[in-house]
Amino acid sequence: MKTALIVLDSKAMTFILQKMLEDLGFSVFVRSDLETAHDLLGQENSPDVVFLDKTIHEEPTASLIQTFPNIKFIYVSKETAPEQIQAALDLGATEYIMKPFDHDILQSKLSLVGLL
Amino acid sequence: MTPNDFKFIAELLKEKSGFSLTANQIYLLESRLGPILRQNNLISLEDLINSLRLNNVELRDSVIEAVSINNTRFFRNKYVFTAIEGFVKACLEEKPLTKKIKILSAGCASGQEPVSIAILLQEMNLPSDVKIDVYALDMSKQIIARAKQGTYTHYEVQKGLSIQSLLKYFIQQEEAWKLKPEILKNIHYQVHNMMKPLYEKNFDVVLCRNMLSYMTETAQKTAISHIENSLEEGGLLIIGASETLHDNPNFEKIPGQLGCYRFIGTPSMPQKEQNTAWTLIKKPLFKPAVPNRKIP
Repeated sequence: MKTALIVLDSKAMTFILQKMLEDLGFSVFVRSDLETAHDLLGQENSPDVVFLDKTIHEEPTASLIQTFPNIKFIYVSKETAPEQIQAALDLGATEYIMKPFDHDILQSKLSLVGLL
Repeated sequence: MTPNDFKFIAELLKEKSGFSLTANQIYLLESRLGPILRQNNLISLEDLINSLRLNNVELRDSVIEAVSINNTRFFRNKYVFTAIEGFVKACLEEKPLTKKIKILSAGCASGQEPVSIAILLQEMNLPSDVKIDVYALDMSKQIIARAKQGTYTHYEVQKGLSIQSLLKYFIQQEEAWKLKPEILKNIHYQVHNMMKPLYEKNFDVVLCRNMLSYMTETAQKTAISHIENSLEEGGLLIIGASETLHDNPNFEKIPGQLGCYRFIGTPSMPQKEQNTAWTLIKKPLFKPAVPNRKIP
């Protein structure tokens, strides 16, 4: 079973995304901050994909992404300006979901990163 | 909607567009006709049908358009784009003097398919003197007018298109995203009903996906015969994976490629050209698609 980790500020968004991912057959972990997430990533059953939001401070995010090159990192953000999206890609994000989004978009993005 | 009303609309669609509606699509029909009632200030479906019976041509065209619009997304079925990429590469290897690649997307709806093809060809870095022409047809005037603008919603651009391609080929315009002119200029949109012969000829590739399955068998054969007249010998025809060409002898199924057929020519074609096509068949024009191949 594929696993996903959600590290988002919004509890409501975390809840919705978790349900959507479970519907798609993912086993989902939720962490509220980067430090505990970092611990989970170091484990044997490391997640295949991590969902992050743009409010996470840039430095630790960049170092986190670079530490785990085999994990797909997908940003979920309401920021839709091309320069903001590019900034996330420069940090090492594999994909970017602009909010609001639906089940089809999530499915399409997971397919683009090779997880569906 | 009464069974008689349904029958009337189903027959009208069949006659004018070749579309075949089955009795279990009554819900689809009702949901698609709702917006037409509002646009034309009609109170009920009964009013709509009465107007249609009075031969209101404009209203009839709106009904045909509304029922025939299908959902679409960018790079729908990745294997199709892998097949096109392989075919175009093979064509250029086979005929290095090729100066034009001509591709048709029949039933293009709001344009996601032709846009995906144009992006794919752009990403292939073809020689600079090779001209790319993507023709895109749909029988809906409204949807072609929309496709010509090249503007897609926040939701549409997130379906099938990678974020890298979005940034590379689209410009953000308030809430929407507009395709860059250098890609849009390669796509020629036209209103066209596949029951009529195609104006353009000599296509290297024709895509006609998820359209045949909505047509009667007779209409499917008519549409395919028009494609035959416009497809180069040895050219590639791609139909939906669940669709069929009804054992048409002028096409050869390409092994391992869902819905992909090579046009081997019709008996009426000159003998010399037919020989060329048969020579081409002996050797595969492109390698089978690589599974999970990443499309940008």
